[in-house]
Amino acid sequence: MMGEISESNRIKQPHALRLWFFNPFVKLAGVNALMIGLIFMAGTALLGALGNCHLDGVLNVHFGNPAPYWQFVLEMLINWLSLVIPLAISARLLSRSSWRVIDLLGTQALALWPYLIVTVIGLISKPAIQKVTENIDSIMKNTPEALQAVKTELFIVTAFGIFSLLIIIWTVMLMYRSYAISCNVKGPKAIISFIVSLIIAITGSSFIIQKFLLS
Amino acid sequence: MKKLPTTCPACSSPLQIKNLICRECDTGIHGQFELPVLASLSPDDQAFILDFLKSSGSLKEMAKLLRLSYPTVRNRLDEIIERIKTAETAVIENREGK
Repeated sequence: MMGEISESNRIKQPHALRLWFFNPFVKLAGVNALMIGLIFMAGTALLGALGNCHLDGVLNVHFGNPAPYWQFVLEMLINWLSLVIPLAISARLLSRSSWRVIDLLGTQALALWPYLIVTVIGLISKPAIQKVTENIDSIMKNTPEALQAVKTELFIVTAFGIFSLLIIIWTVMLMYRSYAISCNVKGPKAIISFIVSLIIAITGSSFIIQKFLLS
Repeated sequence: MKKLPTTCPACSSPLQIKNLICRECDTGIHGQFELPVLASLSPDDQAFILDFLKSSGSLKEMAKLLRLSYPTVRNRLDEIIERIKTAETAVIENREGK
């Protein structure tokens, strides 16, 4: 008999909205998560290209030179895979569960979705950032006149920086939960292996992007 | 129906069945019988196992029915397997009088 579940299991279903923001992988993984994640990544790359907002490393957000769309797509793909590979190796060594690579690929792709918000805010902040960049020499002199001229823009740039930091923290939390759920790794070994994998990913992705895309 | 206690409230050791009674003829059987390992699981875990069997042992089907992701359901099953192993070990140790 299929298609029925006991009352006990039905009641246990998590349904809170916060679950979708902080741990969507309880409900979404595998191919579905991968498809949605890839759509978000394509959107992030598009908005990044429009706002010159480069995600030039797993945890890096920078405004840079204009570049073709494919370069922003490649940045996203490098960031995604440079974390998936060390996490998969860690899970292979540590997990006692029969986890699936598609779950790790899908949930890690979905974990990058907050970067879409960064690129939206980046696009909105673009004029302010351009003005600050153009006047960077006079700002560095720290004269009251120079600072007064770009006061609002400096506020916007600072707010963008703080906002980006919060988004990055949120993204890291999603990345960790993706790893813990997809590969069924728990406790200190999950935290330590995630941190090591993240450091490898940060170093690796920044190196690859700087060396092959932005040089 | 009362909840079946499976561990001793005083020392937490696994409980055994001492008396069985036929409801029809009131025949009583006295002895020492072990509870099945599945009975030592929580009602939620037992419900999960029943649903799993009804889904023909398909985690994908379970994930659909519970509206949860595949790894979430698989992790839950792994946890139950661990609890069954622990319960089995406790039964063996109890049998050996440890």
